[in-house]
Amino acid sequence: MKIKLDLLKWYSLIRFVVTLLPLIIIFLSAFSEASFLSFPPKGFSLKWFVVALTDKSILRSIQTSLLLAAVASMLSLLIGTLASYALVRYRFPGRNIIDSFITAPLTLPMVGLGLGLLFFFSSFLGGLSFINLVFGHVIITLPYVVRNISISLAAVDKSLEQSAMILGAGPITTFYKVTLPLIKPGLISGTLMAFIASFNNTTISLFVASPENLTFPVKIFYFIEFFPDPRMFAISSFVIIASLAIMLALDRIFGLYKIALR
Amino acid sequence: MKKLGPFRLSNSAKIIVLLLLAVLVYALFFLGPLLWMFYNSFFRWDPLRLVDRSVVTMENYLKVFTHPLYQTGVINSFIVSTAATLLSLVFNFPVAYYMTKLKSQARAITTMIILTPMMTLSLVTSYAWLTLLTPGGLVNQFLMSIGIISEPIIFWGTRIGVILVLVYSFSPHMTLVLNASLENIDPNYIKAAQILGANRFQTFYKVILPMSVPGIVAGSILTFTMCISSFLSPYVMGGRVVKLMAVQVFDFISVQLNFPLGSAMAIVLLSVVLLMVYVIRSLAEKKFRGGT
Amino acid sequence: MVTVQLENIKKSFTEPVLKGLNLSVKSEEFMSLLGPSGCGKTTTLNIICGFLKPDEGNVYVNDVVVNNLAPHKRDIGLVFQNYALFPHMTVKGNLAFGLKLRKVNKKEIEKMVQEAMELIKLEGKEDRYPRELSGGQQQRVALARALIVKPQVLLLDEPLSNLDAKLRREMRIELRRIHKEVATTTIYVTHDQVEALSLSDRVAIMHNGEIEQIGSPTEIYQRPKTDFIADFMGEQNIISGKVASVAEKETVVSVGDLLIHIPDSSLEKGKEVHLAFRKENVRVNKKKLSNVNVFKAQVIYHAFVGKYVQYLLSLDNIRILADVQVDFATQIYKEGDHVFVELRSEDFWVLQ
Ligand SMILES: Nc1ncnc2c1ncn2[C@@H]1O[C@H](COP(=O)(O)OP(=O)(O)OP(=O)(O)O)[C@@H](O)[C@H]1O
Ligand SMILES: [Mg+2]
Repeated sequence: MKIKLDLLKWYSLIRFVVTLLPLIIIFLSAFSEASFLSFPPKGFSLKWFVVALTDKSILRSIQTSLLLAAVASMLSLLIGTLASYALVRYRFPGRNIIDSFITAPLTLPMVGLGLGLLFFFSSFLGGLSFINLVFGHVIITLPYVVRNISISLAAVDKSLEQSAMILGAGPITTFYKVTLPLIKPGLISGTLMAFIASFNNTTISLFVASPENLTFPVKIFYFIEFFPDPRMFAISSFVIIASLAIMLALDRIFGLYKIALR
Repeated sequence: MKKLGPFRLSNSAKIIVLLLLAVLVYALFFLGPLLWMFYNSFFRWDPLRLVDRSVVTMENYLKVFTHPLYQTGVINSFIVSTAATLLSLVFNFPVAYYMTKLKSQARAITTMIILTPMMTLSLVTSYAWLTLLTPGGLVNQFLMSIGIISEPIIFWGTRIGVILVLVYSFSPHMTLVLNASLENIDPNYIKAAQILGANRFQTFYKVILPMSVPGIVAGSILTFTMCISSFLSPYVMGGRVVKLMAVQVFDFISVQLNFPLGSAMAIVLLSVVLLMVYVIRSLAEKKFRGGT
Repeated sequence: MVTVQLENIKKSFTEPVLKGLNLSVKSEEFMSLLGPSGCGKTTTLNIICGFLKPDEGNVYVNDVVVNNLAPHKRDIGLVFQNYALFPHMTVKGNLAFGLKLRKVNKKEIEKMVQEAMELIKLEGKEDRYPRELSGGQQQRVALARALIVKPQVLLLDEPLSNLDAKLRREMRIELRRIHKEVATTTIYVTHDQVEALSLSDRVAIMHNGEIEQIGSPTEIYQRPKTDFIADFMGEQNIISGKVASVAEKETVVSVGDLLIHIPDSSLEKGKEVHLAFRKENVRVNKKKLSNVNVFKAQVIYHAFVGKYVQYLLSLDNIRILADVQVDFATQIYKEGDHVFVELRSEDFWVLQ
C-alpha cells in the first residue's frame, strides 16, 4: 500500500519537474555564449542579456505590450464591473444569452477571432489602429474580469446594500462604501488576470497589431520565425519572472487554487 | 416634512445603462467580426478587391472538405487533438489525484507549478521544448543512452512533436478540472468502500474512477477544444509541415491573403468548437438535473 | 396618530402575492405582522422600504405618500434576519454609517455610539468586527444600527430566527425593553406566534395577501376570527354544527346528538356554524359534575408531555384534543377509559 502511494508521489514529482523543464532551459540558455539556441548551453556569458536589454525594438515592444495590457485591463475593469452588477443583481430576459456571450471569446479559437477582427478592421472602424488593438484585447480580457467580479458580487448579500440604502446612502454612495470594498478581491484578481492575458496574448495581436504597435509576444514570434538566438530567452527570463511574481501575489492574496478555476 | 424625490430610474433603465458598454464592445469587436467573416465566406476571392461579392457560392466550404490539402488539415487537427487529449488525461490524472492528498501549503506550491504553462508565453516554452527535442538534443540522447531507441526520433515537423507540445501547453486545464472533480468526491464514499473490505486498488477502480467520470469528460472536452483551437505551439513545433486547420487559417492571411477561404476554414473551426462547448453545457446540465 | 399606513397595496410577481393589503400602525406602537412562510411579509416590508414598488395602492409614512421616494430618503430603520452588518467595518463603523450620511459631527457621533452601546449592553466592543461577535451580539448591533439614526419607524424581518431557543427568549425580553426605552414605532415580521404574542401591542395576521385579523395578542389568541387563524395560532378544536335554538343569553348548537350551549346570541336558528375551543380549556373528569356542556367520551390515545397530558378523545363520532395540567395527585386516564368532558360555555367561540 505504502509503495503505491510512493509511486504516485514520485511520478507526480517527475511530472512537476517536466512542467518546469522549459523554464529551466530558458533561464540556462540565456547565459549561452553561442549565437544559436542549444541545450545544454555552450559556455557562459551575459552577452545576450546585454544584447536584449539594448535592443530598442524589443524594449519598445515591451512598452507597447505593457501599455496595451494596462489600457485593456482598465477598460475591462470599468465595463466588466458595470456588466457584472447587472448580471448578478438583476433577472431580465436575455440575461443568460449575454452571460454566455461574455465568456464565449475564451472558448472560441483565437485564430478565428483574429482573422475576423483583421478582416473587419480592413473594412470598418478605420484599420489597424492602437485603439482597435486595445478593443481586440478587451474582448479576451473582459471574461476574466466579469467572472471574477461576478463571483465576488454574488457573495455580497443584497441585504448589505439594502441596509446601506435604508440608512440613508444613495445608490452611488452604497456602491462606493459597501459594495466596492467587499468585491475588492475580485476586482484585483480579475484585473491582474486580465493584464496577464492581454500581455501574453499572441494570436490576436499577430493579426491586428500594425508594425507601429508590435507587441512583445509578436516580436518573439518573428524572432522564432526569422532569427532565433538566445536574446529571446534572455528577455523572456525577465518576463517569466515578472509573471511568476504576479502569480505569487495572486496566491498570497487569494489562494491561487481558488481563482485558477474561474 | 420631507421633500418628495424625483421619480426613480426603473430597473430596466438601470440594466440597460449597466450593460450598454459591454453590449456595444461585444457587438463591435466580437459579433461584428464573426458575422462579417461568416458573410464573406460565401463569396469568391479576388486578387485586387480581396472579395468579389457578385456571386454567392459554397465553393469555399466545399474546398475545405474536399481539397486534399485542407482535408489533411481537418483530419490532422482531429487526430492530433484527440491523441493529445488522451495523453494529457493519462499523464495528468495521477497528478490531479496526488494533489488531493496534499495539505494546503503543498497544494499552493504544486498548483503554482502546474499553472506555469498557462502563465508563460507558450511560444517561448514551445521553443524551449524544441531545443530539447532536436535529433541531437537532450531527450534523444537520453533515450538512446538507455537503449529504448537506436535512431533519434524526429520531433520537429512531425505529429508526435506537435502532440507533445499540445499536451504540455494544456496540461494545466486538464489537471485543474480533474483535481476539482476528485476533490468533490465525498470522502465518506471512500471510507464506506474501505469498511466494506475494498483495498486501495479496488477503492480506486470501483469508487474514485467512476465518480470522477464527469470531471474526465469535462476535462477532455475542454482540452480537445483548446488543442484544436491552438495555433502557436503547433506552429513552433510543426511549422507548416504538419498541416492543421488553425495553422492554415493563419496561413491564409500571412501567405495567401485569401480572406474568403480563410474565413470558411475559420467558420468550420469555430463550429467544431461551438459544438464541443454545447456538448459540455448539456452534459453539465444533465448532471445538474440528474442530481448525482 | 398613525405612523405607517398601507392603503390597498397590490403586488404580483408571477402570481399575486399582496391582494389589497390595508394596515395602519399607530405611533410608538409595537405591531407584529404574523403569517405563514411565503405569505408576503417580506414583500410588504420591501414595499414599505421602497425596495419594491407596489403595483397599486399607497404607502404613507407620517401621512405623506412615499410611493416614489427612494429607500435612502425614507428615514426607516431595518433589521434583517441575517443582520446584514457590514463585514468590512467595525461595530463602531456600522453604527456611525447612518450618522455620517446625516452629517452629524464627529463628537456627536462618538457620543451617540456610546449611548447606543449602552442601550444594547455591549460597551467596550466598539472596535470588534462583526465576525468577532456572537449571533446574539450581532443581532443587537444590527438593532442599534437601525435605531441610532432615530428613524420614524423600525422594521424587523424575523430578527430572531437565526438564534437558538434560549437566546431567542432573552432577546424577546431585550427587544421589549429597548422598545420601551426608545418608543420607536415598530413593525415586527415573524411566523412564530409566541414571538408575536409576547412582544406586541397589536398583532396583524396575514393570509392570502390580506390582513385577516388585527387585534391585541389576547384577542387574537382567545378569539381567532377564522378557521385559518385558529389553526395557525396552535392546535385547537373546531367542530361544526347547526344552531338549534336562540335565546336571550344562550344559544344552543347541535353537533350530532350533542347539544352545546354558547353565550353568542347573534346567530340565526338553523345556520351552519363552526365552533372552536382551545384544547387547554377542556376538562376531563371521571364523574359527571354538571349538566351543561358535559359530554361522555372515551380516551383514544394519551401522551404525557411534561406538565400536562394530551388526550385524544372521542365524543360520539367527534374527535377532540385536550391538554390537561397534571400534578402528582391527578389521575391519568388510559386508552379505552370512559370519561366525561366538561367545557364552560364561554370557552366556545364562533368562527367566521
Ligand atoms: N423577487 C421575486 N420574484 C418572484 N417571486 C417572488 C419574489 N419575491 C417574493 N416572491 C414570492 O412572493 C411570495 C411571498 O414572498 P415573501 O418573501 O414576501 O414571503 P414571506 O412571508 O416573507 O415568507 P418567509 O416567512 O418565508 O420569509 C413567495 O411565494 C415568493 O416566492
Ligand atoms: Mg420573509
